[in-house]
Amino acid sequence: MNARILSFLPAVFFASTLSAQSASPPDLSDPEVAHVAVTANAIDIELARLAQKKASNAEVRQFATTMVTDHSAVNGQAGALAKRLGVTPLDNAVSKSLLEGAATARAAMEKLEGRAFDRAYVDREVAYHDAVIKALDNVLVPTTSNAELKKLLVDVRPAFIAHLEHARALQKSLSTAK
Amino acid sequence: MMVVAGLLLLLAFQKWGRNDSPASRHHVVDIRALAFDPAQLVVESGDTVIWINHDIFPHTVTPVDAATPDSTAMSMGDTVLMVMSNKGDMRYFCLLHPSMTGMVTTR
Repeated sequence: MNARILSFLPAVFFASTLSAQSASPPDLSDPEVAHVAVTANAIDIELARLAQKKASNAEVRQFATTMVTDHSAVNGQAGALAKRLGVTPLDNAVSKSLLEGAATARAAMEKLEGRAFDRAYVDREVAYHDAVIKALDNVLVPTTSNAELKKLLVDVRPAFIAHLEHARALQKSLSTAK
Repeated sequence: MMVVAGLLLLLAFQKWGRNDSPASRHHVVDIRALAFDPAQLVVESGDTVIWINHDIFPHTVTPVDAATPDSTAMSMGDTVLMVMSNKGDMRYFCLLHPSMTGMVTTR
């Protein structure tokens, strides 16, 4: 299967799973929301670590470093909040689906090298962050009951917007590079 | 007498240490929601600018024309101080989040 198509799979699945336009958006409890959020961050961290090793473009590697740093910071805060609230993030079908999609995308990207890898990774990051922001806005934030968890999700949104803008700028740069 | 007392009272409540006070030698730039606030700052030569990171995300204050960009990141709660000696514009950005930009103009 085309690597670029595979790079979009996690984002497509994420968007369709959590889309408010679907017939019945998943009814997630706060522990489940926390698990989805932590899983989504962990997925991006893992792929970013792969990109730190494999990306041929220095700016792509720098972007990957930002992804590791920022998504780790979010998970650190989420973990601290869960501990303070005495909440254990609860595994659920959405998290499982995200992980399945991510595994498929990773397997495809591991076979790529050089510019092909760079482009596939950045394309995937654009699609993934776009899907994550939509999921935050349409499902995760509205469905969350706990005020502190909701605030955390709202507070991290600007970072995801910045990530999306950064990835789009890289996407444009890579598409025009000779 | 009342006018004099009023003027003295006004002077007593003058704010120090923040960007809106013309007599302040220290200026604060807050880093919050992936933005520098204020993004543009005018200071006098010899003044100190203090950046404070309120975000959970690490940030850097990296001058655009730095020969060797400093990639040391500020964690939440960390501060960076710079004494602005050279007159002119210092454009800077966050190495981790390039869309975050700011400028300090030293007169």
